Amino acid sequence: MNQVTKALLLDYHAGRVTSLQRKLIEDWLQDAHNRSTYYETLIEWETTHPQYVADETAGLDRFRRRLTGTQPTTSAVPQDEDPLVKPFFTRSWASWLAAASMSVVLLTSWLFRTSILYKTYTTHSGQIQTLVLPDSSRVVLNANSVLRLSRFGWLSLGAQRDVFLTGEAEFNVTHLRDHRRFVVHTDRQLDIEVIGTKFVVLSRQRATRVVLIRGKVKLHYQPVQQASKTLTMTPGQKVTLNERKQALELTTSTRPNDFSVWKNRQYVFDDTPLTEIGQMIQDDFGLKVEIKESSLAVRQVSGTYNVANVDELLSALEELLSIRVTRQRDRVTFSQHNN
Amino acid sequence: MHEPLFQPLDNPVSLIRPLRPAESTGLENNPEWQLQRVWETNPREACEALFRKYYVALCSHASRFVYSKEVAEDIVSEVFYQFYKEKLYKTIKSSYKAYLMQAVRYRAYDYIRWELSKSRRGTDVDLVNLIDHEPSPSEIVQYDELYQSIELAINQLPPQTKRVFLLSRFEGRKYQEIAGELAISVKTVETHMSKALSLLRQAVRPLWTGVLLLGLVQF
Repeated sequence: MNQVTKALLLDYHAGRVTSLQRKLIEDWLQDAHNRSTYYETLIEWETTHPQYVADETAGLDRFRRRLTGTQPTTSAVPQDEDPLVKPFFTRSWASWLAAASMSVVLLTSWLFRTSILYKTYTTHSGQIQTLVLPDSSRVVLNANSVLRLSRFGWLSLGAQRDVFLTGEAEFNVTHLRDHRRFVVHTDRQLDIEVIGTKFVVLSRQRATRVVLIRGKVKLHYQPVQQASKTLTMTPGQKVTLNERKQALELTTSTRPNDFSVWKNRQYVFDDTPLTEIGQMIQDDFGLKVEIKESSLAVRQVSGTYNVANVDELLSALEELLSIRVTRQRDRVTFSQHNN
Repeated sequence: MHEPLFQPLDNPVSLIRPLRPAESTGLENNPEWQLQRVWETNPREACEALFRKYYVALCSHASRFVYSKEVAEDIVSEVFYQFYKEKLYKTIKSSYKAYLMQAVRYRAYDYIRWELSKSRRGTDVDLVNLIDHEPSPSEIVQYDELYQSIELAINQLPPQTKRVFLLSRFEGRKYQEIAGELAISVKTVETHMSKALSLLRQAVRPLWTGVLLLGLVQF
């Protein structure tokens, strides 16, 4: 590396080296100390062989005024926006700018068409949010959920109120004088038409489920390559979508409110298998849950648990089932105690 | 006016000794070291001291890329302003002069890239963290190749085109003034200018692909 002398570097800056010497310098620059020497020599070369000598006093004056802010624009160029855009290409620049800004507008509206057409509410892991929609319907959105509603036409005359749900939410729908429909769309060809009022929808990977607490809703299910099915629910009923059979399974729940206790940061288990609990933790808290033994997966849990803190729930389960629960950052593992 | 090529070396004897990498950048030999205490008590004064020390060299270097005194001075001024305003002197790991030079080159490159190819990096220069992104050896060499090919391209312009170009760009004269001085029409000045820029664009084009990569890493 000693072949790189100061003379060589100075020649290099002046563009007077061969390509081999250039390569030599490039290799030499691998060393951080040499890079520092390189910049030092470059400054020295610019000091001794300047392309032109800038007026230092004027420059410093300008810089000082800029620092004290007495002169917001120190040159013909507005500094805060783009100090380097000069009216050099005025004509072509102007038309280019017009065309560019037009295409930027078009491109952005295309890219963000979802955010322009829809208002989106999103919750993160462990976050529960209460929303009041423009028609004053109330929605409690569980963790890791997304609710979208059309910005346009939502309350325009005669339009139906469409919302799109991924995740879990409790709806308390306001009835409007013109009897306008309120429809919850899920990802799975299942739509819930509200006739009046309070119900809980789960639309996640693990299940699609509707529990009606009060009022009346009509379900519209469109299985693939089949006639659509309609089902009217009465309070206390629970409908789960069986995707394999492409069918809606209706059961009656004596305690429909249990399906919305999550909004008070509680879980109510009623002979709930550990696999389902694991999925709930995964969905609501964004943790990866692994159950080591299949014998463990079928263990069932009942009772009401506070889940303000997921670690409390985990240690409760550990004690209750006398199993071992380990958590490493985002990973939770359930395993038998004796391993 | 600008004849940086083929200058006689000032002191050939001292120039042929090998450079001593590690020691030459030691703190005790570093003139910036004396400034360290001033940075704490009066950063503005320290910043002005740096400005006085490197302004001419940095402007000269920037002008090799952008070929305009005014743009070069704007760039250097902007670099110092950001250096002071963002308190970069607190976070810079390399030497200040290395940082200043890198920042000036980066902005100068961004400017000509906008001017000659009508495309920018897509990243706001202010947002790019030069402290974290120190140019690699190949990037450094590409910057050098860039200003050297610009210089070469300008030297190869037809004499009258070159004269018009330098008066307009480097000296920042108005087309009207140039036309008067060279006794030609404004229309002819315009023709010379567009010719110069298109030749410059052609000369620099093969380098975009190389230096362009600099831009792409920032995305």
